[in-house]
Amino acid sequence: MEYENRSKMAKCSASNNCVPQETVIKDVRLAAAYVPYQKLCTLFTPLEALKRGTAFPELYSPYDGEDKCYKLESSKKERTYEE
Amino acid sequence: MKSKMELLKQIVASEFMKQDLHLFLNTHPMDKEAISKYNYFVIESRGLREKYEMNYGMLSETNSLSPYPWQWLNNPWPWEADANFKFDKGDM
Repeated sequence: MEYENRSKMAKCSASNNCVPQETVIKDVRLAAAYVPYQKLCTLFTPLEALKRGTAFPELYSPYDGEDKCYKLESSKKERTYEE
Repeated sequence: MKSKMELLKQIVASEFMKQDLHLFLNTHPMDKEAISKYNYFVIESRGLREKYEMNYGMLSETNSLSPYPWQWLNNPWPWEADANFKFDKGDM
C-alpha cells in the first residue's frame, strides 16, 4: 500500500526544485498518524528567521497575514490512494 | 564599526539560527549539510559575541570576563528599552 501526498510546497519554496519534505510515505496503516519527514532545502537569513520565528521557509506558517506562501491549502491538496 | 544595537541584533539572530538548526539536527543527526550550517553559526555567534564584549560590555553574567570594577551592573537590565534592539524595514 502506498500513500502519496504531493503538497503545493514545491511551488512556494525558493527557485530551485528542492522539495523540503518526503513526498512518498510507505507502509501506511489505518488509524495511525504520520508526520512527513522534513528535508533541508534553503534557510532564511538569520534576521528573517528571527522575525518569522523559524529558520525553515517550509515551516513558516503565520496564523494570518499576507505572507501565506508556505501554508498548505487543504482544499487544494492533492491526494491519491493506491493499494 | 557597527553600532551596539546592530551588533546585538546580529548576535540574537545568529543564536536563533543555532537553536533552530539544533532542533532540526535532533531528528536529522546524519544531515551533513545541516551540521555544517550549525557549525557555521556556532563560529559566527562566537565571533560576534567576542566583538560585542570587547566594545560594549558583558553579554552574560556568568560567561563573560569583567574588568574591575564588576561590569555587569553597568549594562541596562534586559527589560529596559536601552537593552533591546528594534527591527527596521531593511531587515527583511
